[in-house]
Amino acid sequence: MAGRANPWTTGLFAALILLFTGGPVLLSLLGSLIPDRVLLDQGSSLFAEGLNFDGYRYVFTGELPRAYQAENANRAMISDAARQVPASLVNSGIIALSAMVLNILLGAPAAFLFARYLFPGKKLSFLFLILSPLVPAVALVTPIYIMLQSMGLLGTRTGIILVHTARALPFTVLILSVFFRKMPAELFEAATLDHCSRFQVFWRIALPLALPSIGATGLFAFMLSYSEYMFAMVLSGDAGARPVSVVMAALARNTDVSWSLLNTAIFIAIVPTLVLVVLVWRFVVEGLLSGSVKG
Amino acid sequence: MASVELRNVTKRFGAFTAVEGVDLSIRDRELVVFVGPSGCGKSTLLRMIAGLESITSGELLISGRPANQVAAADRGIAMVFQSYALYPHMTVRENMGFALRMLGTDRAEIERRVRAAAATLQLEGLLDRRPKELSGGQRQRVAIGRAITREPDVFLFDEPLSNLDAGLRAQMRVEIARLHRQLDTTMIYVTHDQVEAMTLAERIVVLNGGRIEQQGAPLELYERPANRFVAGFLGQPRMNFVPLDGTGGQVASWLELLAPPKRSATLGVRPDGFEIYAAPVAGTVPAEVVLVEQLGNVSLVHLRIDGLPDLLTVELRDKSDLRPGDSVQLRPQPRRSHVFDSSGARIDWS
Repeated sequence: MAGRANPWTTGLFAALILLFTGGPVLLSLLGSLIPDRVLLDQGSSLFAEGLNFDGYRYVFTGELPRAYQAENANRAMISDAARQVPASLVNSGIIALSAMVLNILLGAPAAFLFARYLFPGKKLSFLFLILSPLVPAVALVTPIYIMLQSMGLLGTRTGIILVHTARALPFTVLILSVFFRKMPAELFEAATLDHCSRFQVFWRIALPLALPSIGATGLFAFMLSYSEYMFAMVLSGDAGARPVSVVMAALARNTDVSWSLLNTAIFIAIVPTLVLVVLVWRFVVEGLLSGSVKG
Repeated sequence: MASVELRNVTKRFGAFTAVEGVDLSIRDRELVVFVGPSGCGKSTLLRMIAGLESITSGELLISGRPANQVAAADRGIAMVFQSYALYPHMTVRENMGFALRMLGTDRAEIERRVRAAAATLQLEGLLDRRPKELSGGQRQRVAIGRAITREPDVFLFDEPLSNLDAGLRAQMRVEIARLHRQLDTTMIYVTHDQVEAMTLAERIVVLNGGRIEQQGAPLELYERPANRFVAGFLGQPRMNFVPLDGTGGQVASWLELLAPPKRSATLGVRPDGFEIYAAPVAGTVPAEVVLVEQLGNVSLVHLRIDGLPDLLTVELRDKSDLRPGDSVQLRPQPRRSHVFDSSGARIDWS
């Protein structure tokens, strides 16, 4: 690396990045704990009311927040959609994890083939794969809807999993094929001489070396699926397949919604991604660093 | 133990011909070095023997059996790559035992062979390290060890020392020569370094433009190069080439001295094949000292003869008192002079 940055500048940039990434998370956590009355009523203050977990209690148990149990309270502010958050979180978890696993299972071998082997139609199929994300998603909604309908997958998690997998797959293949292409060819030739079949070359040599990249692309596929709204909305119907993105949108559409409840739902929706990032991040960064040192 | 035979082997990449009509027979237990400038087809030839590159036309026989269609892993060969190609996620032990594991060899046998190879290469203390924890020389040894554990019939080395520094290279060169004596196996070694070729080989195959220029024992090639290319490629510093005519007759006295059968020929003299005199004697030509390189045991004197396109390099034993600008008289030793015709082929006469 050429020249080292001034520690103060580095610190400033780090603080800015933290502000932009961690700030909203902290705000939503804070907002979920501050009672609505503090926000809406000039007369009451946070010191008098204190923080509470009423929002969380309502989301998970259905018990109305104390403030809304008063007789003249505007209960319309308590949206039913908030009660769907835990179930939708489970849906989202299943959908996004499945999309992630499918992306790795399908994308890694495909990327390896594209990166390392010649086969008829290679260029055309790769071009097709790379250009497919350029088709506007809106244009695909109707055909995919009809297709899933004919397969009887409307309103099921399976349907959404398939679509999300297909949406992320081009990126997975592209990113991983770049990584596989950077690996020295001699490594694979040595493995071939060491009695490895093509699959074994992939499984025993390429895959273990690509784990950090696979972790990163898997995380990417997870995030893409977790935050995807349009297909999830159209394909989930009103059934129990709704993922969290759809439920959150329903919650936010209610302009009278309780702020603390909305923030509660937001924070709950963020938690799984935070957990996943913490689990995968270390691994990804370590992989990238060891790669650069080896260089 | 195996012989390797190439019959009229050609390799084309599209319109480009990398190797053309190579005939070569490598005996059992022989150490043959392919040498040539980059792009001469030496690595391609090796990779065809390994099975990493298909053969466009011609025939490859290993131990007398046709091997063109035999899969790389089944040819009974092991290859040491220039970049070592060690598996970064495996320890030294796993790297060395990998091929055997893939073959389903019994664990105890793998361990025995890995230990034996490690002992041969002084790697015992490093078996549990990963490649990134090793120095360049150690990695190179592991790469060789990986080849040894397979107990192959033929070892292939593809420029194995070119990533090492000069000192280590000399040391590994000796080690590979020792290994060849110890293992007593057929070895094919590719290098662009003519010193490696001269010191290691039992037989050198000089390649250029995809063809074999000459093959033979190192000293045979050094002393009787078949053509101008081989003469210029082997030997350090390079052989001097002087056109015997067509330069205005400056070296007419050399022509008289040597009296070759053809006048339109090129004279080739190695730097240690000249004699330098202070005053004119029979057959000398005046020359001017341009530069003197003192290497301690020898000195290299660069001389200009008026009208000749290239400077001549003359190697003198010991230190030299000559200084740039000095005038001297130069004469080739007839016994150490080579003459090549206009096509570059050697002309023999006596």
